[in-house]
Amino acid sequence: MPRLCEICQNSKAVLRRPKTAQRICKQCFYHVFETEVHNTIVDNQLFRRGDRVGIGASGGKDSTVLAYVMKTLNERHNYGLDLYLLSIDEGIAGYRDDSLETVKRNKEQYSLPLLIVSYEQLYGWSMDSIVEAVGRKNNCTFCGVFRRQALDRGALMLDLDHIVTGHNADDVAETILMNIFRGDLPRLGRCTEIATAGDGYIVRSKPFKYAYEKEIVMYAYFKKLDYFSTECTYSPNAYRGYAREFLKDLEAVRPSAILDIIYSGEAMQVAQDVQMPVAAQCERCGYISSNRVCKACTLLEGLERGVPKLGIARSAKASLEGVPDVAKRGGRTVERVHFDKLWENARRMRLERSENNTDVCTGSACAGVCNAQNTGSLTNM
Amino acid sequence: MEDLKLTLKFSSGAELMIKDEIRADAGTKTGDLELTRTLPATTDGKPTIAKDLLEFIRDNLIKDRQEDFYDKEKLRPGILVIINGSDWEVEDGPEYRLQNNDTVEFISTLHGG
Repeated sequence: MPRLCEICQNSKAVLRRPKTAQRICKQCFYHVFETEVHNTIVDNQLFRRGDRVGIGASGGKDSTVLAYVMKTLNERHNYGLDLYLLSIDEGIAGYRDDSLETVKRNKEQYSLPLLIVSYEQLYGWSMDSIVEAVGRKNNCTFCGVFRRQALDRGALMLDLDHIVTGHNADDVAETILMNIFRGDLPRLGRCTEIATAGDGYIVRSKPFKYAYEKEIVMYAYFKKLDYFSTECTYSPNAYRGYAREFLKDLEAVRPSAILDIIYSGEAMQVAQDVQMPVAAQCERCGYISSNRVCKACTLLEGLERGVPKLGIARSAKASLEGVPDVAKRGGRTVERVHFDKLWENARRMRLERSENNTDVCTGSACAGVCNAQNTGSLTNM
Repeated sequence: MEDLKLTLKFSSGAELMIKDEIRADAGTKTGDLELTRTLPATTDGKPTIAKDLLEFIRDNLIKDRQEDFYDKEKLRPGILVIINGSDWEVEDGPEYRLQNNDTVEFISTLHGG
């Protein structure tokens, strides 16, 4: 005789929850999973009515489930959010092109507008051409730095108030471990926050911060969501891989380990007398940076001058002396749009929208541009 | 006793652990993989259980580093097992007694996000 659901005592249990060890049925699982995400959103006041929210969509399991759940909750609880899919095309043949096909199908399945911004379009270099220039060793650095900024650029193009990403509890716990192992205090502080001011422009948050990966995968499985999974063609992130295996082993022994680590990360505080880097603007592109020139601009300069090690070398002062200005290179030089310009465009779009539309304001990034009354955070829904 | 005819499915990256020639035979170089395999109803004189299937898969289907899949009586953490549509942790996990025509799915949570 099949085991019955421990919640409704009625239907066949199909899943054992890693968080609680409860055995539950499909319908109860949907209900608790969605409700927990809803509670995370409401308890942390992630959004305001009228917010334009971009879902960082890779076509992978986490972001596909996130898009589905965000759409469901927005309708069910009347959040009043305008949802968008925002995807980054790193330009990796055989990997990202396939997963972007999935995002394009998600766009139709969920009827959400989609914007794809590519490294090639923003920086003049696709990851394929970067790998051609730098080899397979350090290419993940380029990809990570460029992605972070690309999301902000895409968000400003859409004039978003907020970006949500599919990072789940397992990802957060892994990142906490990695930052502890590396002694990276600024990142340790940031990675535990559910919402950060992003890199200056758009708030980013992780509605799945407390959702276990197993449940996300099982949700996608039971709902038969259309997602894509494969390994990146280029070198896998080996360090994260070890942290992940370690975490999975801990979880096997003690399922609460993931939430425990998140809790530990949140509880850690940086002592007052530790000098934290001060954020300023990159003098070239206007992106937030703790240095005169941001990491993306440094990496691009290296690529363009044929010294791709620039910005990667261990010594912070990797010298440019004696380096020829013209070198063999695979990308092209593009005029990168300054962040002030992107910001200005976003403001203008916002103003135009508010002029054409009297009844809706306003997102949290509105800053009083449109004269309408702000309707406040999403609470008590 | 009758042999056990089993449907095995690998998805969400788990298929990447299977030998290339087996994937090619199944006609899928990319994406979900579905195989049919037959196991004896008993193993070492006892009814065949999920654990025996894991050993079979490790020894016959997995490409290089077989111990990464299943080692020391332990399935690699992060691989979910679904038997006939249910999380195997709901029932007996590795001790589950396999039945003829069972469908066993392996879903990786370790690959690409």
